[in-house]
Amino acid sequence: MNDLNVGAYLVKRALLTVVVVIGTITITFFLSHVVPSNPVILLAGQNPTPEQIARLTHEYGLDEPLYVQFLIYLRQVFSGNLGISFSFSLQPVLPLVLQTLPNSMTLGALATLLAIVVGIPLGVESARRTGRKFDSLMRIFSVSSVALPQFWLGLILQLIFAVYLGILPNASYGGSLLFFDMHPVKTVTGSYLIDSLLTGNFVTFVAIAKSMVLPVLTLALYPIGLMIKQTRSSVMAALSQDYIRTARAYGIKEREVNYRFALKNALPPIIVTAALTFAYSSTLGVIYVEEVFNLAPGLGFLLRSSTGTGISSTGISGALDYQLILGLAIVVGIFYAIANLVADALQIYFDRRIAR
Amino acid sequence: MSLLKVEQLKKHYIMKEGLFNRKKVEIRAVDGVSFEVREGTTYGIAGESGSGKSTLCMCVARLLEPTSGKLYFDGKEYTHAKGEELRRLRAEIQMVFQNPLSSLDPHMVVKDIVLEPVRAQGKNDDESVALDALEKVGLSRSVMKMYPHELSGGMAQRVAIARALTLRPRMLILDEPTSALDASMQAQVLNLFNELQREMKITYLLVSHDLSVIGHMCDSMAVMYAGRIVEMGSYDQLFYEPSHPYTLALLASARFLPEGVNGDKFALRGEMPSPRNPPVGCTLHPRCPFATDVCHVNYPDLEALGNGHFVACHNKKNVTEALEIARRI
Repeated sequence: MNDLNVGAYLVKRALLTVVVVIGTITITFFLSHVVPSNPVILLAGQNPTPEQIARLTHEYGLDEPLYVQFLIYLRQVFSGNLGISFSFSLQPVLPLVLQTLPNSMTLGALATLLAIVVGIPLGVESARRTGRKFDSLMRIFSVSSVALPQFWLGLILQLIFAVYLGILPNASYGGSLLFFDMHPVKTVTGSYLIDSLLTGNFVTFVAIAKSMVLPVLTLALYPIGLMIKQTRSSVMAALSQDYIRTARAYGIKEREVNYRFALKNALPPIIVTAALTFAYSSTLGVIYVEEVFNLAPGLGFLLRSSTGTGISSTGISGALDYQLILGLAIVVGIFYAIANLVADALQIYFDRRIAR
Repeated sequence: MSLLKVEQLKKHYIMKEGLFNRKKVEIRAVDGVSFEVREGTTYGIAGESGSGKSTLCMCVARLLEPTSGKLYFDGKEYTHAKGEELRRLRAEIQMVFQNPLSSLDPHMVVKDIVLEPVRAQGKNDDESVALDALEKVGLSRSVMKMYPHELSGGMAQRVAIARALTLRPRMLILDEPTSALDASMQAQVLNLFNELQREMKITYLLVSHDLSVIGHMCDSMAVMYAGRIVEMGSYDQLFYEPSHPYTLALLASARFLPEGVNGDKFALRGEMPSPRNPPVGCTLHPRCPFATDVCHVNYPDLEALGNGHFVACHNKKNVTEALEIARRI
């Protein structure tokens, strides 16, 4: 076991992350500018004159050639400034994104946890019973859970648990839009759920947790299906290995064969799936869920308003908020890159051979 | 006293195919096999790939459930042994598989691999147990911390053997133990098996397609074809007085016939029949140079020739005569 090698390997992967982020910026920048749109209309107020628009366009450098704008943006990013948001009254993009991230990450983390806790055992049991009834059932379940649209599932869950049964709140953190007016939560991490727990505000914590049950369920269904499928196929492959047969031959208990030997060797692709699930559920996955369950603030809301389809502070929508889009792309890109890095590190931890 | 007794063992698979799995095809991988292995000896099972010898091994080791028939170990039936009883039995019957590298868990170091069986059986897993076993197979302490991919094929097979020895089993099932090794390694590993048998009085059930391996190791043997034993007896009986066309063909193809005998005339035609659609009558008749009309209708019974030599062939007299004539020329 050579720690130097592990370190060098991880540093190499981390450097690759920088390349990935630059690639993300480049593609997102040019893609967003392909669409004819001028964000200054978000600032120009009601019925602006062409002169006003031209002046603002010039003021924000939006009349420069595209490659000049791109280079200016790159220079700005590498000095740690992600620019300002046109749709949120010229607020700086970075704090705007960082404020929303903790809540969305909490949703994503809970959904990933649920996917791991539920998906892996079901996948292993499914692999053990290949071709039997339970396996067929799991295959149907995993395919349909991947296929079900989240916005539909969210509505159905609201209908059942909030409207008909009335046991869980319908929408919003804490179950009401005015919840935080009555139960203020001191900001520590920025995540309502974690902050209410950290500040010992137990009643608030329970209310917030209850309001997050349906969103997490909605968010987790797709990862659960994915996890079942991935676990099933890699455990099946591991179970057909000779050393598994050998383990049976010397009298290892069946439970141990499945969970210790087969699962351990099937783990690498499962770890990658879990890491990507977390990255997806915390960023792109929350778009529909935050909308359906009205969980503001969140990354999903920001994404929507940046593309001119959501709410904005000026009440005017319909234009692309370039720097917010790019800022989100960078954050999402970094998020995915970190998730991959963590997956790599975990794989090394579970499989010492890679580091040799 | 026989340590292992196999009685009319059958393993049939049902394959479902066609639309909605409506068509069922029965595959008789092992179809009524009986033999006995005396304690402290080596019993060989020869046959080409697809003859059912590996399935037989897996059934004897209870890694597969036999369809019917009976298995006895040390006089006690264990055909349907379960739970604790089966686990205790597993300590007495160990297996060594064909491919040494893939039968070692790639995520464990040699020390843990070798100690895994004693841990599974809840016995003493002191480091000295591993050292002892490794020493027996001629490996040094230095391999203890290695991962399987750092071992050569021969070393890996020695590790697999060491692992099988830690529980001090009374019987080892060797399923093509040397066919993945090169020739010089083969000889070393086979000699190792012989030494271990002298030292620890282990009984071997050795399965191989390679007659030279069987010849090197076995006291008595059986030849399998299409899931059945076609001839069985002592090493001398099968190597010097083969009475089944298939045994003869195997010996001829491996150049084990007496000097000057031309083996070509005993060669088989064509391929092994598909197990999903075996020939009617004797399964060998489409390929057999001795086949007569009766072979197309009935499968021959295993008949005694005396001194524990059994053969299942309608034309066994023609076979021995033909060999006799070939010898005289």
